[in-house]
Amino acid sequence: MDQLNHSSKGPPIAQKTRSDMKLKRAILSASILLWTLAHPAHLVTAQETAAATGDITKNPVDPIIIKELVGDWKNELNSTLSIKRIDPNSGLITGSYASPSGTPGQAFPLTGWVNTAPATTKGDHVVVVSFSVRWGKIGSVTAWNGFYRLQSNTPTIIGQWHLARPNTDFPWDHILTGQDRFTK
Amino acid sequence: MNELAKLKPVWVGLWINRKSSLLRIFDLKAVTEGTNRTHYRIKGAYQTGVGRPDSTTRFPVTGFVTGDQIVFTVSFRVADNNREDDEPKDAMTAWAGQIMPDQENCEIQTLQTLWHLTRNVVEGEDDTDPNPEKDHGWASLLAGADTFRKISDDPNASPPTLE
Repeated sequence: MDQLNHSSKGPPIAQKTRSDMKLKRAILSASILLWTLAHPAHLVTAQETAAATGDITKNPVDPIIIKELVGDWKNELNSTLSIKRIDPNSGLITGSYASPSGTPGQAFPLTGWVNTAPATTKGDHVVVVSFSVRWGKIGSVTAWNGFYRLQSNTPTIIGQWHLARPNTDFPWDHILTGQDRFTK
Repeated sequence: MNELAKLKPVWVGLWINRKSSLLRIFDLKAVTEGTNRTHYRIKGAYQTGVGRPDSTTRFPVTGFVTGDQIVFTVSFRVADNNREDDEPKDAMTAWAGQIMPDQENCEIQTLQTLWHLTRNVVEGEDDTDPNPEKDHGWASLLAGADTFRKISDDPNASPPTLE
């Protein structure tokens, strides 16, 4: 509750955490580097090379995942999510979206991201996906954030969305929300 | 009951958000309700500073607290009890959040929440639509954030007069 007191004690803890993280990251980078050196070069994927160089901003997408994601997906309301291209280096998604709810059904431009990390031995693993649509003259935008996974053997994209509308009755009712489930 | 004695001064009182809505928490009650642990239920009233209802109208609040976390809901029933209303403008909202250092002024503690509001989908839609819920059900949930500041330990305190 005593925030003044708390913040005066704050910096040393923050510094300690930061240096801990730096150390952990250095150990991680070093072990990846050693692993890479110990393995034949032709087995090292672009992803592992990027990790080994220590540049956390680079994370190429596995071509298998790109193949699985590219294509036409439909949700419960029969909207079509068309993923046309995914840049393997950046994970940038481009495509279009057509919805029979709230629009006459034309395709609107879509852009988004896909990202991945190696699965851990414990817990749950998904491929994370986000995309957003600009609804032309309707004036609104929707952003989905979610993941791609096999659900009962069906490739599925689950996305939580927020729709922002420019004109509403009140200052607090611009944002609608919901969840969509897309299958191919 | 030591825990209840600790929680009461934290939560009971008058809270105000940045939309000048008032959250009055009257009391906390320890309940078990068939579980093997104690849970703390809140009783209160809410007055919205925005939207259709008048800001003096009180709506009931129920919810739970644990430590510095809270969930609470408000039933914004506005339908006239003496009248059959075909298209009630009723809505309900659920908030969830925690007391934390304020994001704009870290020297004070505020209750930071996110909310979902469910509204009746027939509201303001085309009268000729034969199946509004099927066609517009996707647009029934609103979302947002509220930050509340406690301005009095007395839940029945008068709100500050707005200039």
